[in-house]
Amino acid sequence: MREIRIQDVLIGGSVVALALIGILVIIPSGIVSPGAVEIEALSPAFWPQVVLIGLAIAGGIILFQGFFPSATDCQDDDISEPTLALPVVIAKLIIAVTVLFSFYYAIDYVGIVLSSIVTLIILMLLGGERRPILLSLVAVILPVLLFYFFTYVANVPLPLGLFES
Amino acid sequence: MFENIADAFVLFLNWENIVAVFAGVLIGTVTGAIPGMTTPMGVALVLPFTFAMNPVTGILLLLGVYKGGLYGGSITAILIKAPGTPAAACTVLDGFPLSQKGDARKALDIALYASVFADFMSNLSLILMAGFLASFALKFGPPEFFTLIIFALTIIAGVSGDRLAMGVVSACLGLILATVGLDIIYGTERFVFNEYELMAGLNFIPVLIGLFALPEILNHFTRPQTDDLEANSLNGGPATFADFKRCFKSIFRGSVIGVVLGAIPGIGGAPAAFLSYSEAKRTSKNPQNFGKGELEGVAAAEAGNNGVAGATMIPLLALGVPGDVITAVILGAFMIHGLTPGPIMFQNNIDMIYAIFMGIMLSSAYLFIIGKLSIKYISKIADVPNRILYPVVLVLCTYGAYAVNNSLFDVLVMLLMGLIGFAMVRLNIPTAPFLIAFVLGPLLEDNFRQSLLLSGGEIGIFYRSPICMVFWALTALTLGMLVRSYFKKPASQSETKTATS
Repeated sequence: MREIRIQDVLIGGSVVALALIGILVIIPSGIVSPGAVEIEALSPAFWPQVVLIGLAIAGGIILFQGFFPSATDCQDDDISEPTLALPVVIAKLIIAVTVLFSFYYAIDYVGIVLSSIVTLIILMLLGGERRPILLSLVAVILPVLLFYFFTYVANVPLPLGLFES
Repeated sequence: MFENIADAFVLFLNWENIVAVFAGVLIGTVTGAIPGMTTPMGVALVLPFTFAMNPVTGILLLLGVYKGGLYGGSITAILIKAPGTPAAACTVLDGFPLSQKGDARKALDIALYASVFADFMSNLSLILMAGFLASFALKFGPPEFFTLIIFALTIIAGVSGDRLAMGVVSACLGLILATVGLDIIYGTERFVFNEYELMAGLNFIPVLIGLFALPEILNHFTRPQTDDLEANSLNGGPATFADFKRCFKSIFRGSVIGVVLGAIPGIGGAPAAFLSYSEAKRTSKNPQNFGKGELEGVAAAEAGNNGVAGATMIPLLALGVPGDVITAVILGAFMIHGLTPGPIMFQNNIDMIYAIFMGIMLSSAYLFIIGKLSIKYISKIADVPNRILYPVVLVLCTYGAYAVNNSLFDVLVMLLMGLIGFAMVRLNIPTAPFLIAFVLGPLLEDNFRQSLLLSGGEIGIFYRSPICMVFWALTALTLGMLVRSYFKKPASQSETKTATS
């Protein structure tokens, strides 16, 4: 008896659940259908419904494959690439994602240039760069160059937050 | 005719035209290489400068930007997995794995050779077959488009690896995301949830950058610092003539696909690139290598992408119908100079048409020179250690995503897509089908619904013409071959898989 593939069962189950939530909840609440649609296939909800049904079927197949894996499925476990210890990976990822979203929210307040400088410094430090001069040069020069390029060459005004005036 | 060609030579042979084509290709290459700076943006930025030029010079400058932009998108796609254009997203599939193996130089070389060859073929067909291809292209209505896109979508099976169901899940997610925005027929909201920024739908560029570049950046933090120093280095040698010869069949086929699809208004480079890639994989002796760093995959994608460049000018010049956004801008440039492309222009301003043809041919040569230079200099970024490169790429992507619509919302979309992409990579769900479905989805749905509108709901419209039947037959053939290969999987597959991993 082959072992159940837990990951496939979880993915398949989640996909089926997502598709059902989509069909039963998200489409009715998220798509505004006009009152009189003569041809059902022309309704704005028709295409998303078809896609979500396809999603549910594909999810069902993955679920089935998880419960009844074939011989090749059992053997195709990944050859893992060298990676850090799990707690370190999780900590680094949490920091990286927090920095990314803080960067996004900071753009409104302190502008894209300053927030880019801070983000670059933190992410390069997180990645292992320890040379302060190189780190500072890259962090300052790149955002300033990009700012001048987009503002004066491409004519794209960039958000400057506090420094807008 | 010879008198017209002589007049065209007089019109074309001046330093302004020669410089304009060069400047255009250079600007386009740089624009295409910056994630977020799209080719239409580049053409639109250059347009005001053409007002003061004579018509031929101005139009050649715009055409140069167009051609350079199509190629430039492949540079960052190969080096940092951030496609500069939607069409270059197909180049990522094999270009970036080659880069990771240390064969970035080879990938960039073959992308350039394929681009130049396809561009040349496209120009040649523009000159020789404008009339014939324009009349063929006019036979494509919504049902023909629909069946063509269905056929192009069979590539999802090809890029899903051994887990087709995972690929279908990924594609369905891409298709559903492509439906966000206002409905094209009724104008009602779909998944907008009162967020006005969602009304126009999700822009390609932030989604592409988020899906491909961000997972790679996040993945970088999960690896030990020691192994990322020379991951993308250009240690590998350049592409040889033998490499080009090996890929030639795919390059030629991709060029033809690009020319034919380019001549059809509204198709664009992305479907051509995906179809060419799909065909290359289907006919390859090593289909299992596609997606893992197959040179032929890069060649096919770039040939398909660049094959459309000259061909999109066919409906514009022959019929006055712009094939895509860029040719619409170029049509505007013609009109600003008091010219109306179409049959009348062939009668009244044939010397101008021939002069444009000459400039277009010159642009292929410039593309080669500028491409070679850009490989030499721009590709130095592959030597930058990843701990510096990835944060830099993130900032570059953020500026790029913002610049598409001057909207911070697009930056948020890019970040969220990055998280989704990262989760998909970690769960072994392929991201390529998501992208293909997201790019082709709107075309598929729009043409499906337009067909039904035309037929009053009669499904028979999808079988009405020989073109539809050909595409249905090709789709059935592909699916049949897929099913056959699935059931005939060799027992030693797992050994092969281990070896390739």
